Amino acid sequence: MVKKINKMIKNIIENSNKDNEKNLIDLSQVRLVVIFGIFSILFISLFLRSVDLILLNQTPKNNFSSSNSIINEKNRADIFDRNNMLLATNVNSASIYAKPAEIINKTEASIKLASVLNNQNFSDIEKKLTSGKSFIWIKRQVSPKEHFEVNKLGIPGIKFQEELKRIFPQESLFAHVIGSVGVDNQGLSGVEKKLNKRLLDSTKSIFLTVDTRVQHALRQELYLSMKKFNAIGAAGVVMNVNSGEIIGLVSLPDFNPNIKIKPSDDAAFSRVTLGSYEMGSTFKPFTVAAALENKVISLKDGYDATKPLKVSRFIIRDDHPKERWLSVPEIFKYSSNIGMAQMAKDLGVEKQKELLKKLGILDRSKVELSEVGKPIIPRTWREINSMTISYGHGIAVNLLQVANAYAILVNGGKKITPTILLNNDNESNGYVNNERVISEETSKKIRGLLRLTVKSGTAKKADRIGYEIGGKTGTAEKPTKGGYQKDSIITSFIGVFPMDRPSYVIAIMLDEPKGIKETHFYRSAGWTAAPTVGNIIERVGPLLDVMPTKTKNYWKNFEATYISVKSNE
Amino acid sequence: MINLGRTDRSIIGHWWWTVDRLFILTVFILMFIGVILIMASSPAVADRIGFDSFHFVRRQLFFILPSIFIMLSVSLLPPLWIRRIGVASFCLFLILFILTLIIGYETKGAQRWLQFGSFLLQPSEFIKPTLVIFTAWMLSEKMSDRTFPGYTITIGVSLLILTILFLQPDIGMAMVISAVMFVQMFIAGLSIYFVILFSIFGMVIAFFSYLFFPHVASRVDRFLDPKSGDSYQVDTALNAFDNGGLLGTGPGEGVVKEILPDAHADFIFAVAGEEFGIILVLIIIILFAFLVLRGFSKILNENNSFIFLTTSGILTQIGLQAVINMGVNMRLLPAKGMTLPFISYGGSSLLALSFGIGVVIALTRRRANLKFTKSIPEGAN
Repeated sequence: MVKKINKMIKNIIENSNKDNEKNLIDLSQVRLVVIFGIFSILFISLFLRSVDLILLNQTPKNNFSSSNSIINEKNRADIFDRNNMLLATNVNSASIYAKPAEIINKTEASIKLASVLNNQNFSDIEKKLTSGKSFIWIKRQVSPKEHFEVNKLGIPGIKFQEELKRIFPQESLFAHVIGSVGVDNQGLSGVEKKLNKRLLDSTKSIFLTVDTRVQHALRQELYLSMKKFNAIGAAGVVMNVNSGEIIGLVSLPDFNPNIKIKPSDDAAFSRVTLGSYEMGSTFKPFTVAAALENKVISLKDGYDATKPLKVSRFIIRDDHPKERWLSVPEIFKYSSNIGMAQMAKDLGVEKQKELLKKLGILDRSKVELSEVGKPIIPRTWREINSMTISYGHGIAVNLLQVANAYAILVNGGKKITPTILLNNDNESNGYVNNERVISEETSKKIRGLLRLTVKSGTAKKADRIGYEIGGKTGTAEKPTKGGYQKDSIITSFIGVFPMDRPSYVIAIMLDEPKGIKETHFYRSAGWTAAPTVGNIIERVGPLLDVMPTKTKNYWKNFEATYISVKSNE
Repeated sequence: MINLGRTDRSIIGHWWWTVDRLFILTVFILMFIGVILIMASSPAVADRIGFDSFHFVRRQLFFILPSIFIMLSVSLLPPLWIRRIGVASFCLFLILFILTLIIGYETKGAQRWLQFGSFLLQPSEFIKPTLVIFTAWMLSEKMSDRTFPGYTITIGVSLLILTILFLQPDIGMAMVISAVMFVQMFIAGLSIYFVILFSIFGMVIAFFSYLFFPHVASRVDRFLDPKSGDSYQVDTALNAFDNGGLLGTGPGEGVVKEILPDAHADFIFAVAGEEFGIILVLIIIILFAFLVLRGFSKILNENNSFIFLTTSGILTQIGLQAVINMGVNMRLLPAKGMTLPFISYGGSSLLALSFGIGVVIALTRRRANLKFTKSIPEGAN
């Protein structure tokens, strides 16, 4: 056999010397095998190529038709509010891309595309088409109408890629809660960013504690006040005082997350959770609560507020000077800085700090949002710091922290932390953790003082018949380099309702409101922030199952028990 | 059904028991796939150029029956008659072929056709199988008688035909015929020095074509680097396979046929990939591989030089056309217009291929004792 093959091979080379036909035919048979082999290799190559081409080729698909290929294979989970209202979901949409090499007339193609696509101009498209790249996106996630129009143009080399687009049916309403998602399906802010992995990994829907109806009322009232007082911004949060659930959270200006254009820094900035502000007088209840809890004072005690208080090089003045001795309820309702500073001095640094810590004021909030600011607290906390902090200066925190601290003060003193996720399993949230911050008794007293402030103090304009609203105003000048600017103020009001069985806290803030004729050009919190909260409560009360009542038993009881010193007014 | 006993010695009965029935079945399946694919692809082409939708389908069906008739009739013939009819047809078609240069019907810049009523005859398609028979005869004579100028005649006739093809022009056909002639001479025992010489000659021609023919250069460049120019047709064909995937988009659901100019001819394989998926693509490759390799395997032990030279020539022609067409469609080869045998649209092509495959079937029948004439040597015993 081997001999035969050797002979054959020899024949291939030396055939010219042979004239024997038998040898020639042997040679032919060997050469036939060679041709057979070549064809075998050719067909095997074709076979492998077709398998490679169709089964192993992972290059992005180029569709002539509406094929079902999808880049964003991963579907983000839907997001709902507490009443199963859809807040975020996905729809299929087309993205337009170009293969410039296949486009015959790039200028003509650019003109045509620009004529049917929104927010795209001719020169930008032409620049893209002539950039020399072999693949370029023209526009991602276009509307069905744009898809149809571009398809109708029938330009060769302009193609479509089907993608999942995240859409927010409530548009800008939840901009600072849910946040936004980029074209590549990654959460960019809010819950979408904080829970990005969870949303991508599981298609199980996420339910938020927010209530779309309340959110809408909150946003609309804030918007109206912002416009009315020419404020540059506004923020508000509605929270359940017993569970820490955030029912509404609005920061204005905001943005429409459906529009895939980066919002301005101002619109993207959350004044509720990211911005730290000196809150001013809304801080007073914390020091009062600490003093009452530690029995440093009783409601019958008081301080002299006849003249401004000199503490080393600082002079502490009152915004609404009464120039007389004031009882603790009076200090509270007239918002006396002089009285508060003396109370803080009596209380002492450590006890003040301890309560603020327990109220969650000194640490970054653990709410499930991606934009949460760290409070700015003094590095060294001396007596003078303690005195200014008692009326809300020298410390900057965010609005959500203040709302949460108020919730603890009025809910009977139980520790809660704010949450945005419904049915949160996290045990540190809500009722599960029954850690006490202040006593029931102190909580009752604070509730009385808050109600007193609305009934006859600085926040009278927040009062709404039947809702038993309590709260505290705050007006603070915005700090600049080396001092405060008189012209720019932040006014805030933290309201709680109903006072006989506190259920919700509503904290709002107006950024740089201006005085208007209606308010006799006053711009302080009592004139701007307080009525806004009153309006909000009037609208959301019924939605939150709080109906106006005629009974004022709680208030009568409180007055008889705690307030012996009658107001002179 | 036909029920033929093994002892049946009638022409048909004898044929039935000696012919390779699996081989015939393969050809029928390919023709059937062709009709289905032309039905899928050609209406788009017909609509585009203003014929009624089923123009090409009707014409292809019109040629199917005569083709099958020719294939089966030829397969009944003994080798001697194959040679006679083959050589006679070759002379006839050679004349018609030369006439195309004078009275040919011109379309798409090429003058390849002769008009007979509404039918356009392409003589070059018939030249392929008949030339193979003619040269096989010449070379087999050379093998039995070294003084016979077999190579000279083969090369001379080939050069004549290639010249006409260059004038038409039809470079694809010229390439296939050159390759077939080379394979035939190689099998006939061409000296290894000439084999090397011809190979070098072929490479030089290819190189000069690249240098001096801009369209050849651009096609090769675009194949080597798709970004260097417009490779739209081949890219579109590739996308078609991608679009089709495993099971295809479904008959008629593809869109590549709306874009490619020769979806019913040169790019019908891409239509198969898009509408019927990789399943049909693999089936077509396997059918052609089976046809060619089974044909070759039948002649590996054949001692009659005319038989194995003719058979190998025709199989090389069909196999090469199939490989080039599928290779171009799947971007394994530079773009070159080439029809897919039995599947692409084309009356002349179908008739000529059927004649050719009929010859192969006839020559690969089992023969116990064949009478050979003097000029066809009877093996070496």
